[in-house]
Amino acid sequence: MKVILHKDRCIECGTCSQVAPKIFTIEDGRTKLIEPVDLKNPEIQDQARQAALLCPAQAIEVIENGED
Amino acid sequence: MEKIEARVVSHRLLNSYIHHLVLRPLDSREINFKAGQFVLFQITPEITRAYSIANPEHIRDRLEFIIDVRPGGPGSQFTQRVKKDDKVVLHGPLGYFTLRLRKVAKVFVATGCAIAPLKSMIETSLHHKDTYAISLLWGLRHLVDIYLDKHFQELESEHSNFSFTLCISRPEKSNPYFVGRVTEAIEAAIGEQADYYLCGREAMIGDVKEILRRRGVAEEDIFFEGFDSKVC
Repeated sequence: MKVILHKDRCIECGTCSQVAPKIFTIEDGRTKLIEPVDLKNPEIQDQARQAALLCPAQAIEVIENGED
Repeated sequence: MEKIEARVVSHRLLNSYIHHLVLRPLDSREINFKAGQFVLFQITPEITRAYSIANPEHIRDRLEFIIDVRPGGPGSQFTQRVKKDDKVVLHGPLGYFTLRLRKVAKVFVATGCAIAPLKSMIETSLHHKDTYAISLLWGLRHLVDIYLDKHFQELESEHSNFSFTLCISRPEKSNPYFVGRVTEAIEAAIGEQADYYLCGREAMIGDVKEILRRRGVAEEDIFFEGFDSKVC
């Protein structure tokens, strides 16, 4: 799995960091991907899918067969 | 995070483009949220939109929203379409921009429909019998944009520690309000130790933060959330 945060679309609402706290964080009001993150972990994969589904700005892209 | 199935119990216009929605959970559950938080509306299976809760946190049986439909996107169209008794799926509550019940004065600064989370915070503070000074500076552009002015004026007359300044930046005629932007009105509101809550467009937030910094307000006393109309 690969997770892409499209910063140009992000409205910094913080939804992703609450839905997927192991993948996203907010620093100084800006959304950031946490690195490194174990995207082979099924729990984290579920968080990523949920964040992509709920993001109101559609700023999160999950590529299921992408490299982590 | 909860999924909340709710029903529209009220939908009215506050001016020609501001919609006021009240939703109640279908299962009559209480919604535990913090003043300032938002929920996601499920617009379509693929699209959500974030809207701030406008009611105070002690009212837990319903959620109130103030939505500007001028951006015209999927959320705006959904808001215009939705009617009383319609079912709406919500996710939340979410968000970190929340009220701190610290024993200091509070200054709230909003522009446009970014008043929604601040309305929740102000009404929550007043409900907690906060005796410290609470000020609201609210910026709108034209006189025809005005809504909820009577609501805040009533709160002002009921609570001696609450003051309300409506700032009209481009008035068409003489009026009793502050003529100018919130960035001009804020200068007079800075005084004693206070927490500052800013909500609106990022440019306004940046300008007000700069004024506060220049006047010696500590960074940790400033809380803010940007309202971005690119996703509405």
